Amino acid sequence: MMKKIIKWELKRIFSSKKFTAAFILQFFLIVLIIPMFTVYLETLQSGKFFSTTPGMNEFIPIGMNRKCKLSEIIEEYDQFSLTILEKNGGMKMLQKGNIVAYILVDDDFDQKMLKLENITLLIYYNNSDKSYVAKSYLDSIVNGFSDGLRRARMREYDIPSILIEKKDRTDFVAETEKPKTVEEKKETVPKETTPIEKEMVDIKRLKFSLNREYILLLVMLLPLFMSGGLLTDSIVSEKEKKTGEMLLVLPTKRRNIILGKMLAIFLITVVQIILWIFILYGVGKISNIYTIFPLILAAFLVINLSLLISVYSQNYKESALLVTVIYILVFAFMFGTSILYISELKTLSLLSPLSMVIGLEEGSLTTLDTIYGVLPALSFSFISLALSVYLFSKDSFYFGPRPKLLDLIPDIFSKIGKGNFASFFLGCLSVFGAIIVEIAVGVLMYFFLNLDVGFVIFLLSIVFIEEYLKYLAMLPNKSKFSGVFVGFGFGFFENLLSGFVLFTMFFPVEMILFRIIPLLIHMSSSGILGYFRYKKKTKLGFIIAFIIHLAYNTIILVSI
Amino acid sequence: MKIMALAYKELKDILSEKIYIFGFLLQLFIVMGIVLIGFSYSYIAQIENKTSVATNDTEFAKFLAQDEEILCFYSKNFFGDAYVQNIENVFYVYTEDEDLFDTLKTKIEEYYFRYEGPLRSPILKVDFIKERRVVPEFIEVMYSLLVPIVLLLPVFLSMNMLSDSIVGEKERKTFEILLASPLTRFEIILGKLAPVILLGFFQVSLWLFVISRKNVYIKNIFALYIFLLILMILFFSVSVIFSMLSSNIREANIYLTLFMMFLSFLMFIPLPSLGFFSNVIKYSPVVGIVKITTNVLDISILKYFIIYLVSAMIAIFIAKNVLEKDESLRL
Repeated sequence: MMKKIIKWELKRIFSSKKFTAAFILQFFLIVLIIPMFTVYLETLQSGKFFSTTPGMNEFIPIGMNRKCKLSEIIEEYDQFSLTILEKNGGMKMLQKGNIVAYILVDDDFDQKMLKLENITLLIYYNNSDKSYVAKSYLDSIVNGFSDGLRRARMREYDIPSILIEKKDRTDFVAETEKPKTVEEKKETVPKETTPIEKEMVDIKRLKFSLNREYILLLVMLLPLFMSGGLLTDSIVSEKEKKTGEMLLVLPTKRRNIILGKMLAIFLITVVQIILWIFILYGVGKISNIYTIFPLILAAFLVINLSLLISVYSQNYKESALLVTVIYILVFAFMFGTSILYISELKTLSLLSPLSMVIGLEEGSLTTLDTIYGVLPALSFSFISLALSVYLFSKDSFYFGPRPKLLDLIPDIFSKIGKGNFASFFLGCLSVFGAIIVEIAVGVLMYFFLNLDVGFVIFLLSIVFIEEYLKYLAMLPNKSKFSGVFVGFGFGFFENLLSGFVLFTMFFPVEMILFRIIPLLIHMSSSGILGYFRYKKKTKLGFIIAFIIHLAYNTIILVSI
Repeated sequence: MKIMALAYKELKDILSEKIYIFGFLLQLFIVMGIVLIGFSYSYIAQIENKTSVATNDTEFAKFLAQDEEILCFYSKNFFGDAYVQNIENVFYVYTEDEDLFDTLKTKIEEYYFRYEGPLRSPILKVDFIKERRVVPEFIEVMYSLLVPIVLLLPVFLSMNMLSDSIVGEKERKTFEILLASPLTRFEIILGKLAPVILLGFFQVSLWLFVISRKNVYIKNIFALYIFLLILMILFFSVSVIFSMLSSNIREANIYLTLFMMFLSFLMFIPLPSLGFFSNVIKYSPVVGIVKITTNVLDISILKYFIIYLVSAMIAIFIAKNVLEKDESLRL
């Protein structure tokens, strides 16, 4: 039956005009992006200047006393809007804030430069915020100018260049092991006749320069976006048109209906990804064909999240808004964490599957990295898949009235199991909830309260959130020791995550051993709560657990 | 007065929709997240700008230490991003990074010829007096990219609300009743637009307050509001046109999403500067917003007002004409 549903879905999608249109659109976008991408690279290599983000256009208004070679260079930057002003006017404008920097050059700047004489340059800044930006750009321009002049002088005066040799990191070991022989190399640099102006400026600084991988990822977002849209469309529109009810009466499990729909869309997405990657590989825009796998992983995650949204939403309006918001968050998270790959926090960045794409392209991905990269995305995908299957099996999600989100949590928890092992697992699970809520509360406090008050409230709310979530997690288990197991799960998983984070931040191993204590605290606080719940004195238990937990947190923070 | 009644009803409709309230709350977190992105971007940029270089030449180490962007160490072993070895004035640079090699090459030349007259740095450098600690990267990314996003976010989301309201009425067939009321078509558009604009301004003010909590202040708020009003009229009229042309919410949503993707691509993605194209980009509304919020106002800003005022007039005129065509009502 599931195969039949997959077939129906595929047929429906391929016969719809919308899909064909979207597919063609994608194709053109990709075809368009390839030459654009080449232009990007060429611009980069030719040393022309980038317009950075459009908002940076003429971002920095500056003034200068005369037109000269330097002003020509400055004008090549889109960031500057340069006006030629005589000194008094310029200084007045600087004071009023119409310009943020004023450059004063010698009257015979160009002649001096051609004669390779020393040049005096005075730059006045006002104390606006933008002047700091101006300073950072002008510094690099002036340095580049200065370097260019020095090079020119070296050629002009026929000064032999010093010997500078580039070697690889691996050479260092080989070199230091054997005794060194100093080679006498003296080559005179041939005097070139190229005009000085041409090579005067050699500026390396390119802010916001997007690297290859990022553009590749941008291209890949298209099929992902589309697949999510197709899935919500297929499920929500059947809900709205009531044709989904026909599907429900089919002689098959409901699970199969939803899995069939999901798999059909997933299949299409995979085919698209493979197609685009092969095209990109064919024209030599990517170097590693295995980038397909992390992209498929990302697609699987996105599709499962959209599945959850479409099962949850009642109408198209709702699903459209939810999909937009969730996509923004997911992509911000994926891109945000994958930025870390380039910096030192490589392991942490692997939370996002997109980091693996960068890793594969750079060729720096190890097996351990792959495991770290695959696990979070895959587990999130399966959690949301399981949730959607569960929600779909409930009639109230199809025929209404939809139950409240908070009422669902205990219901879902009790589905997982009632035993001690289930409690342990639920404890692990509630760590995720705790992290999300705590981050939200933390950000709110950071913005709206001053540091001291905000910190105290944050501390109290952390304890409250954690204890409450653990309480929710122990609800299905009616035994005396339910709390101990939930606490154990919570502490265990928290340690696992913080160990993961601490490792990546180069903390010593002792720190991780030290984490035994919070595990015990979690176990005892929720153990007490569980015991009091068993004795039907939940409120008292909660207060005691709260106090124990708070006391521990306070002691730790004060001692730090 | 009649418009007021319609506007009041629309406002009530929007505020009673749970999903909008939810979207509104999420926006709050997006705005706060955006400010945090600004902070973390500038933090990463600062780390990335600093390269660590080790060298066995103490004099050279001192020389390199003058550069703020290089962390320099004296060491006989490989350490950091690059290692510079000076063996009897032959320099060996160990690094895999081409750019860093080039930078170090100029540094070594500068160092090597530091006493020889003609090769001393040809331009006199004067130190910048730092009164307070301002990170240029933060200022740059915040005011040129993130503040415009924060300001345009409510505008973009309100476009969806507006089209939902119009297409919803079309689907429920209540739009025909509205047309039968003693309101002119133009008044209907105004009545639909007014509450969304009001909400848009409320959100913009709130987000400005939120970012000001982290010391991101903007200039010329009054001029900004006028400019945003013009932009809102323009974009909301476009939204009206799209919703009149589409037969159901889904279709309208697709048009709007495509439109917004196109707009955000033009407004926020870095594009190569290619003659004519970069001149067009200079008139992007984002550039206008950035200029208004960060510069001292002068006469040159008027061109943005004029361009978008004219476009808004044209858009609202088209919207009215589309509304007057009765075929766009029948699905």
